[in-house]
Amino acid sequence: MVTESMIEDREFIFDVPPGSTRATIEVSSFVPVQFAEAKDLRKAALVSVHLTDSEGEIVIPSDDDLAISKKVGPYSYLNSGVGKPQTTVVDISVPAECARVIVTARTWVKEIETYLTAAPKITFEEDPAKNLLMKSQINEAIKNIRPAKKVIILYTTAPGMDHPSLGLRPNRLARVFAQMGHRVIFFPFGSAGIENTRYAENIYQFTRDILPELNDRLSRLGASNVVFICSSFPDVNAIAATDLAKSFGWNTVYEVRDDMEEFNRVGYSKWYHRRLEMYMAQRSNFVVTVSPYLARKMVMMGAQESTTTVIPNGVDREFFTKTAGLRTAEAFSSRAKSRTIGYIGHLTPSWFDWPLVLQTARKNPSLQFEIIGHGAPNNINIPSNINLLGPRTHDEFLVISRGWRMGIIPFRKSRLTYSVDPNKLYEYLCVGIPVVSARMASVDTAPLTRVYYDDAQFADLLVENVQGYFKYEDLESLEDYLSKCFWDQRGNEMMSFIAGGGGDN
Amino acid sequence: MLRSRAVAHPAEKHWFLFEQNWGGLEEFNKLANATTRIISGGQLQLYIHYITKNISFDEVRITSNPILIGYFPSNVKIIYEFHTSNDVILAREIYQMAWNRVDEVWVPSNWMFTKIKELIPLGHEKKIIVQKNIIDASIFNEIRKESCLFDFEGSIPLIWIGRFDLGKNVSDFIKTLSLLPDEYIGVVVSLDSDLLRMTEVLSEALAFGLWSRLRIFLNLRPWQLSELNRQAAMHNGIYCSTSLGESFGYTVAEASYCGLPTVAYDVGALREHNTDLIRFVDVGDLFGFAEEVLSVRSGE
Repeated sequence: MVTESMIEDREFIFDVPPGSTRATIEVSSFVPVQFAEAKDLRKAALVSVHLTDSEGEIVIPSDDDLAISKKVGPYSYLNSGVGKPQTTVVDISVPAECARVIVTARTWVKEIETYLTAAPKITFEEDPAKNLLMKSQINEAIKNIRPAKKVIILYTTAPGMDHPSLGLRPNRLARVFAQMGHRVIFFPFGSAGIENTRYAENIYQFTRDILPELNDRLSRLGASNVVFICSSFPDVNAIAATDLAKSFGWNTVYEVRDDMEEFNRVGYSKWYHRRLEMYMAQRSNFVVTVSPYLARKMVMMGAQESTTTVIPNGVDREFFTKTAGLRTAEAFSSRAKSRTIGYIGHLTPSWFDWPLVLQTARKNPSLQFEIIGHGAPNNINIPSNINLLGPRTHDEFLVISRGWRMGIIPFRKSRLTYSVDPNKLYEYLCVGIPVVSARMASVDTAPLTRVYYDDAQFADLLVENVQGYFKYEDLESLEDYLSKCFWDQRGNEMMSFIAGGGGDN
Repeated sequence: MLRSRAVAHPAEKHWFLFEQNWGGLEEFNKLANATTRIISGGQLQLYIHYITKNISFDEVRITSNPILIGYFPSNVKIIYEFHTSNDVILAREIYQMAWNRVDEVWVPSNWMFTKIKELIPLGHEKKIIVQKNIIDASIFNEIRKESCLFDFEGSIPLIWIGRFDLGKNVSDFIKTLSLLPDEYIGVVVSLDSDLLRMTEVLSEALAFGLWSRLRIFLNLRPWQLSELNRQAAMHNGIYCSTSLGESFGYTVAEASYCGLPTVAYDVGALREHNTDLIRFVDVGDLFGFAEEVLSVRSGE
């Protein structure tokens, strides 16, 4: 039952559960309709929030939360509804020594009556990002390492392991390394995708600011079987971590998944600087790239040829098995009459060749294009035979792609494109569709894949594929190719390369 | 310095308010007798008003920003600490200071005492007290561990620690390294993670062809720093101070506590450390600096 009461400097006291690091305060309030046009309605009432310790002494709040007033201390104006309740949400940090949160609702503009519909509610939480510094979690992450197994630190631009997407190469390799028995400590780019510090047996994840603490703990223990992998993130912290790791006698790997210099050129990866990448290439014990182009670039930047290798991207074994039914003769036959061409991926004009695709669609009205992804530019003139489907889940992709005659990778000619080893190639092949791709990495060695070298050739290859027939040899070569591309094979290969030979090291 | 004081006086309760996060926050958070916050400048005055209204402080110590003096109530003892040796910054701080409101002025060395005394308004000289910085001898000492944390790969390590500002002068360290034989490597422990400044340092080192002889460390813990100093000493290493001014010379002092010889530009308060481990070179004399490094090795 809701009871309304006019705000009159009422105090609400909440005890803080142990271990809380954040609190969310919700206050439901409203002003009567007659005050709708009142001046200063926005400042009619507020809540002040004070923190006290177990002795009742004030605890200094963090700055990142609330404005502070000389009169009432930390506060937030109430965002009251007019005539009906509206909830104001206030988020605050809860310092470790805080035992109580005192919330006081106050009228600020006396002429305006503000009513609470209920007492403020407060929810406490342990914020994973805040708790990550706790020594016990770091200690847990590095204890009970199996003999002869490694601690693998993965410092990367990829999202956290809990991210709802299938994950990038570092996420996949983290799982592979963990299955090999190694202990993986994963540092994603941001805090997105970190729900649990202990993601799985043998995989722990932390925000990047924890890296010095981890190095501190490992070096105190005298840990020696450690591999530091910088995965396409040669920032200031990574180069220093690499030098430190080497001085501790650990192995260091610079994994190059993309041409980050070119990403930076087109406006992404603002942290990047060529000089740092050069330093990383030269200082790391090993350099692993996804494409021959990137391997050559790293050697040009000073990496040793003898310790630089290409290990392409791969296929998830489970996905390969799940899609087996799409790579049968029957499945191929079922798509034979389709004139639908599909794409899945980012649609930024920085690499997606919109002029080529639009022109090809207009000149070939009998072809249908279905495009899955986000990032398409605004205000482009899409012809009727292009259907922008927006972002889709991977399961939705599996259903949609059954109607595709082929998949395309229409990327602009650029160094960024030449260096890419596109994951979508493997996905297209797994769902049993041939591919027409711009020149990049080693796509020309993949089965059912044709590479175009100019715009006219792109359209020609689409038409040829639509009109063509599959051969049974295509099925065999497809199975053979994909069965050598599993992520666990890539992970084994990387560990073997580092160990200088052998499989599971 | 601030942290060491809290460690040295465990019965005191310290509140540390920083305007910027220069790193190392976790070391302060470990202190049982300290509460640490980073408060952005815009909120600072109101924040100080709030906490001084609710907490009774015995004294307030302010450094690097004399404007903050006016934020505190008149009944609180105010100590202003000068730590910079940069003349421009010093002059600005002295000019902005509300001298009548300051009860004491702390400086970390006799050298700074003499300098400040000449610069401050008449009548306030008696407020100046030399309060030497405290080196945590429980961490920085010559007690060697059995295992070696750092591998210098058979080279002679030259250690440089600091931010990449003009005063600290990492450029002269790089130039000095270029004058020395290949058996010397440069270990730069940066207190600066700024991208552009880091790339400038790397570019300069690259221009001198020194990348294979350079190591960049960041975010070392105090115990790791002390290990670095000790192990550098075991490997005939030297701490290099190319700083153009030092109000105290913290890293030089820490090096000497760990038994690591130092070659330093003869500036500021460095001679007050009173140890044979420090050899002095005229400020800016690059060639003299390189020769002195070599003479340490040769035992001259």
